[in-house]
Amino acid sequence: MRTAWVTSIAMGFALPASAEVRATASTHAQAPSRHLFYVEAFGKGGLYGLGYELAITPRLSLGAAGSFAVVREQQVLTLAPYVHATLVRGERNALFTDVGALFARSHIPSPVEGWDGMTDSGGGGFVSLGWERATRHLVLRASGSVVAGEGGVTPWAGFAIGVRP
Amino acid sequence: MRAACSLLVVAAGCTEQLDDGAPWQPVEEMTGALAPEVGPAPAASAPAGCTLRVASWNVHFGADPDGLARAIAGSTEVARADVLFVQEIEAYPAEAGSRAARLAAALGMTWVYAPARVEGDGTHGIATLSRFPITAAAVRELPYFDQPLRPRERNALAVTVDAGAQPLQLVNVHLDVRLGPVDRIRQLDPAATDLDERAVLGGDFNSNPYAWAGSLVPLAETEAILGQDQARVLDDYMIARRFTSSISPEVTTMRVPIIGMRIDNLYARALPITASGIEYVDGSDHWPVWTDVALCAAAAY
Repeated sequence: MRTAWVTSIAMGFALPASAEVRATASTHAQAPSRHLFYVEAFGKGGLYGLGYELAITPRLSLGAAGSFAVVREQQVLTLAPYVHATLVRGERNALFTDVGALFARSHIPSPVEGWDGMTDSGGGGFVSLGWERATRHLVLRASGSVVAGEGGVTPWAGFAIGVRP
Repeated sequence: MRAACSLLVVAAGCTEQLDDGAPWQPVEEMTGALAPEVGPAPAASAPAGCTLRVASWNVHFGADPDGLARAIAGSTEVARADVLFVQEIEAYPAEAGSRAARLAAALGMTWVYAPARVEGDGTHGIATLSRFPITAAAVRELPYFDQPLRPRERNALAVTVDAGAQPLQLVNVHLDVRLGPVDRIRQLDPAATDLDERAVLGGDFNSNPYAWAGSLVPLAETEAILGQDQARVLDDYMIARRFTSSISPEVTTMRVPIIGMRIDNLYARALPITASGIEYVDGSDHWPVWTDVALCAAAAY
């Protein structure tokens, strides 16, 4: 099995936490919304994607992320259902893991006559370990993953920003 | 534009095709800094047998042609090559002849060196070496892709060798590094068209496994899920052009830790392939590939 790997991009996130704390201090007693909507880059959805999570317990959520990207005419569609689990949680920071499946379809259109292009579909799985920083309504995540499928195994990194309405 | 692309790697439109290349041009009509160099006919060439062995090797600038020749001569398979495609070879006025000429002389072959670009006070390009006389040669400038990182002029070199009952056309190519599959086909296509029916086409296709975001970030995740390696895409395209190869897309031809990539390959059309392989020869960051084509059976193929 071929193993591929890509250089991960380091990126730091910082939230204007103090202002958020003041604004939400009076409502801390309220439970956060069970719904999380997010956008991500280089995450479960490939180049970029949209995701949704539903918390089923304080530490466990079910989610799905999907994407459609056109990269130099190559069309890539992905769908990733997964389970999100919080491993360690502080007041604003958390360590989490995601485990799920990945389905992808890629269509390479032909730029020339006499060749029809190429379409492939496949599936695989992933496991991620990540860090989350959250306020009442805003969630930022950075994660590192290992992705495995028909093409081999590769490390991957993703970044997401989401809202809990 | 390039700086913006470097920062915003998620932008997928940073690569731009600036031209369609140029038609095949006979080497004798080419002048200037990129004029090809054509060697004399080989001193003595044994009659061609029924099998012609073609090899291809990216020699990573070929700074030591004598060392390359020793590596080839000491090899098991490439030493028996009748025709050798060479990529990433250079020529500088301060050196005693082009590196292609020196390599060819050391191997007792003739050659055509086709520079693709000026490099310092010299040139950088591809060369085809042959034990048999080269009766015609033409160069085709391939489509140019502007990219954030190291855009390069690329070319293809077609030679006709006098081996066997019929002349045989052999095409040597070297494609860009960080192209996605659509652009790679777009760059290769001119080299695979307007050829004789009987032909061998090979070289360094740089057929890495990935789609590229902005020619900077390989989408390794997508490739891991799908296994839609560009080597497979090229095989599919070449089959549509009625070329075949017997070197698996699963093998690796470049010395990169962990990553496996068949970026070098050889294809034949209207010629049965009887054997092929990769030989692990020192002297470059690539390993040479070789393939045998049956000339005698080709008439009835």
